[in-house]
Amino acid sequence: MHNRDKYPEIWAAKEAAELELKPLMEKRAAFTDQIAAVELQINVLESEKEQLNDSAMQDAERIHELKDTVARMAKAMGAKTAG
Amino acid sequence: MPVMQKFDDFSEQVALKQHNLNTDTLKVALTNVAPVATQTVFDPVTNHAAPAAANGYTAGGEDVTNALSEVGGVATISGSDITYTASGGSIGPFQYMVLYNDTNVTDMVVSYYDHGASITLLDGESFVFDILTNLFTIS
Repeated sequence: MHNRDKYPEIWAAKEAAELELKPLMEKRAAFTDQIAAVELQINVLESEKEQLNDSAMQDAERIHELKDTVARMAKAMGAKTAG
Repeated sequence: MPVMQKFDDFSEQVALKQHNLNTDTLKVALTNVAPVATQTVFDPVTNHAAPAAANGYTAGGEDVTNALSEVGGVATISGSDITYTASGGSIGPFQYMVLYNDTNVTDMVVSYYDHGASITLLDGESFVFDILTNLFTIS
């Protein structure tokens, strides 16, 4: 037996809820589509940011080594440390 | 590195995409005012009043040259040691270090550290923010 016939009241309540839900979801989708479009624009800027970061990190390894050397030399001269 | 105290807001702001811990620039600033875990943005004027931007201290603090890597589901945010050296005068007093996101438009905070005592660097003296293994991990 079909659930519609087996549980008529529950089936009707479910259909009523779905009927009310449909336009609400359509209304929401209009906004979520716009959010997705904005996200696409953000992604373009994020890509640009990542490329700039790649450039900014070109010398990161050497910077790390030099900062480590400066810190070690400062500590060898009695620097106070947070470490 | 002293024990890291995470600002409460950090986790939420990571989830809200306010922090890109790979491409954003994290800085460490000095202050003599005790940070509070509920603070949300870096405030060098009042909440994290900074030493004078002179004698080797730069307004806003120093770039930690942070980078992000991931292994086995654990993201590690690494950085480089920072050495503050007083030159031509003193720096301080200060007791706390605030790690914040300088790229974020509102300079949202990440964490803070307590040196344990207020100090002033006299001309020629240094203070090292020693990043022993990494800044922190996220898992």
